Amino acid sequence: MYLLRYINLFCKIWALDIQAQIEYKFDFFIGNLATILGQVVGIVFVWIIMKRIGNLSDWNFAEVMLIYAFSAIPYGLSQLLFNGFWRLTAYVKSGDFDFFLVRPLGALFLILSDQAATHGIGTIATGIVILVKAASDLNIKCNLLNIAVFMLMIICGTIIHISINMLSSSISFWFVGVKGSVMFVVQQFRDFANYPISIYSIPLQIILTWILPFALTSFYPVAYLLGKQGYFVFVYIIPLVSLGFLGISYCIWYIGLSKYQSTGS
Amino acid sequence: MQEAMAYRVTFLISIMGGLVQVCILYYIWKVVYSGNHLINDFSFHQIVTYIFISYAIKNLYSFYTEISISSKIRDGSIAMELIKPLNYQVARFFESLGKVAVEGIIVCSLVLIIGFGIFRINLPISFSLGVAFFFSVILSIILNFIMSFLISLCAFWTTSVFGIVNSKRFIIDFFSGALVPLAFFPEWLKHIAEWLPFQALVYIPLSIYQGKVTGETIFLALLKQIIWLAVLFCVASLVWKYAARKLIINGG
Repeated sequence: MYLLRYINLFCKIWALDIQAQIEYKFDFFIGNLATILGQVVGIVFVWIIMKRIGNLSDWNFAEVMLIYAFSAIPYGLSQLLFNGFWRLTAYVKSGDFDFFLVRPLGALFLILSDQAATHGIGTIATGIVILVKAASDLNIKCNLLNIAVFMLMIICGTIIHISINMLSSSISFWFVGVKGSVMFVVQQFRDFANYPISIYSIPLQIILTWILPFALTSFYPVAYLLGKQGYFVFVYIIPLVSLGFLGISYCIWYIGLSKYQSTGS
Repeated sequence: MQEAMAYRVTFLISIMGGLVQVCILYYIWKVVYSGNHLINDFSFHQIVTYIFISYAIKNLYSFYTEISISSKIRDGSIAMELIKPLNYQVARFFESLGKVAVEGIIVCSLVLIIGFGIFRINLPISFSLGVAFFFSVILSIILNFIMSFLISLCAFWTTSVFGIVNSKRFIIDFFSGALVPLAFFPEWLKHIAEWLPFQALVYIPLSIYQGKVTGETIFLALLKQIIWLAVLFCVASLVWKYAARKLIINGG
């Protein structure tokens, strides 16, 4: 009951926010154009390089594109649904975060529903286009099992993105003065997950799997779908790891929240 | 003082973010070169130098220009600056040059430490090439300022400067050759890139740095940059004149 009420409220706030943003048609258009351009530039980059060498450590172009798509869709979903963490640093710095604390719904819920980034639509749309193209090039069957795995992996991926955002934005509870956020640097690591992680050094692979697990959103699910040797087992632990990671992030958020001292305004 | 410190931290964070991107490119190129020694006349060592120096040059572009001008246009405080007896465009240029001078020192020391220390990048082949590279970078900084100025003028027409700035960044990343040297582009794409002003930002300075252009062609390359500079300066002045007039009508 309790959870349903929250979900219901979230949907209402989210729909209102989206409606308000779509009113500014040109902003909406140009914001999405920017994200789509970013994706296209990334893809053309891979295309130029792979045209020269054929394979990127045993992965052909369509396979790399599949990783790209898997990396984009959960990221786009986390932008579209839960983009509020990006504003946390500013709220904490200005003291506006106090408003979140006095409202009767819990600070985390309010931050989660604080902002929807409509440019996430562009990310998801390009992700889906690449996914369909790559999957048909690779003859991946559209059977029930694959669709179920895909859905599960997208949900887990979104959870991982939320957790990483929660974790990296919590840091602003400790370091109030910093204007730019640690979140920005952490987000740069997401780009590592656009490519097969087997091309990186071992420490980097460990970071991308266990510490900032962006690779769990893209590389491992695709390796499973393509039946690549050696990465099979990971797909079974992804749901567990993503939930565990969400738990850890929540704890750190909670500790940070209890450390929070208002800057006043 | 605190504001300035916070700004430095923001700047350092953006440097670190860029460094992550450099690492990604490094690993990709490492795989590309695992079976080859020389691709398009570039050795692996040269490519690493290329991506690192292009990253350093990009950090010399003050990202402050667009944000500050466009927000002043939006909140109207630009009016106060317009009544000052200064050419607005020139005044803003020197303002952002000041920022570049401070950031430039940080970037240069960082490049010296990380680039030469960890990535073992090359020096320019000769001293004269180094001098030419230096001039080329200065031209590229001015060119970038003019482009940023043009972009921030969009704030007269739209509130979504964020989207436009991002679009511009992606286009520049690609067509300036900051991601991949233009030499790797397929022919048709290379032709397009050569007719756009963006290559003057990164590709031309780096071609000089790495001795891909030598002798008289260096002067041709610098001339190309100067021509683009002149053209874009004229465009920016025209747009500014038109936009400023628009502001007066609205602001009365």
